[in-house]
Amino acid sequence: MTTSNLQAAFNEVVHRVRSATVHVYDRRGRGSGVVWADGLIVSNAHVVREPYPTIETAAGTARGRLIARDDRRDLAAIHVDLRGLGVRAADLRDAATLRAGEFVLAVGNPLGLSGAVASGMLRSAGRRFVVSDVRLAPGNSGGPLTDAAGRVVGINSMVHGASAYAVPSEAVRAFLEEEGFVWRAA
Amino acid sequence: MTTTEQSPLVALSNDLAAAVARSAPSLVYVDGSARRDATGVVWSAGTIVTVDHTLERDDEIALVLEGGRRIDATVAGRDPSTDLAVLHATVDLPAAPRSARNDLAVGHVVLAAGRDEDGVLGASFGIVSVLDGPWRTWRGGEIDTLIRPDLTLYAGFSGGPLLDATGALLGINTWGLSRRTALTIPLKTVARVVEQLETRGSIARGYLGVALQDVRLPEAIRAALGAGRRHAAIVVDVAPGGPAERAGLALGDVLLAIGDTAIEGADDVQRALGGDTIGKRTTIEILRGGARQAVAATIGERPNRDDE
Repeated sequence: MTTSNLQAAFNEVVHRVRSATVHVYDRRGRGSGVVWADGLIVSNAHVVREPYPTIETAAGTARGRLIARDDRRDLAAIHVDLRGLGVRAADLRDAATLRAGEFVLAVGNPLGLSGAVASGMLRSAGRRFVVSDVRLAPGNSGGPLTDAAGRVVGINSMVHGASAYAVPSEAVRAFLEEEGFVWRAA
Repeated sequence: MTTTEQSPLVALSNDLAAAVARSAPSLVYVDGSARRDATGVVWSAGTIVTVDHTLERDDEIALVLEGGRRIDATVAGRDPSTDLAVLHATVDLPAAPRSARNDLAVGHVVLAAGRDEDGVLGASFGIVSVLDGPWRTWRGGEIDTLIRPDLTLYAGFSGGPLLDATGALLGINTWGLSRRTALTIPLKTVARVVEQLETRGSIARGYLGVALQDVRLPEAIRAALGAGRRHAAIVVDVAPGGPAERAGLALGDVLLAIGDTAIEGADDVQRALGGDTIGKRTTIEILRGGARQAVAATIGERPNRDDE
């Protein structure tokens, strides 16, 4: 395995994750979101405070509609017409299948930067949080945490010390099912 | 587009997770403090190595294994100078595979691992950031190699392993030897300390038999000593019959050097009295009545902590 192979693989997976990541903002807050399925963006409840957040990508903007939120899990679901935004649905993976020592990536829009990438290693995947040492900044909230293959395992939610906490993909699924949405198979 | 199966990034990620999994059966959570989490590594059958600074008590130590099972452990020995402690427990866990490599270099990928209070395994990774020769800790312990890993050492990872990319043990990680950075106690030091703790329960340390206080040196003396020396250590008590008394050291003598070690405070005396000095005839440079003198002392062995 050569360094350039590894670099190419890294570039490829970052490109793939970016293509499923959007800006989410309203007049009161700004963060990131994951294209969970066609027409459905998942983000943090603490990012989406108003009923009609703007969804932005490099290709354009669209008006979203907040359709569900769960403050306890810190999750929000936004309906949006994705046509023309140049994004696709993310690949998904159950966080419970992660093993300590796997690589993780965070993509988001911290500090106004688009598609910024942070990498680190999984510490542990619990029922409430996926804990890793990726270096997050405020605009990462609501964006994807993925495995080394670019499959989303969580929604980046908060930072405490050196640890980054993401809401596990299973909790997103439970949230969506409770709200009457159907989980799309990974 | 690279498929998931072919991606070298995924392959590397899987390899590192496998390396962590290889050491996992030998890792336990150490419950020896109400406030501080620590990890322990199975060194040999029934013997667990951890760090000293997170042990707040000498009894009622518990270990938490994979799956959350708790078992009792006893303290076999502690060495604050190297921040290592040895625990005994009746448990059938395999010893951590040790690295046989001697080519560790700055830039090599390394892993840290630990367990939390529920026994859940955790890991982090980085590279070897600094490698250097032998050094002495702030408490006088002799460490064979300076290893500073650049990785996230979570609070409960003290006492846990530094692993190479195959999952073999390189040393024990700790926050207890530097205020600023996590360091790794190398295998060679761990092996030496464990052997001594298992046989004696403590680490042999040199002993002079004096109580000391830091003291400021007068201007005239400073000029004579040169090299910006401002402080030394003054003798405030001499143990009857101890090495210092036999060498003729007296109350009020100011220690300037022991052997090759300059004394700029009481801490330096601890540093100068490593286990290797025991029984050695050593020149002690002192200031007595304003004049510099040299006396010869035979360094003794510090009594065990139980006898102190």
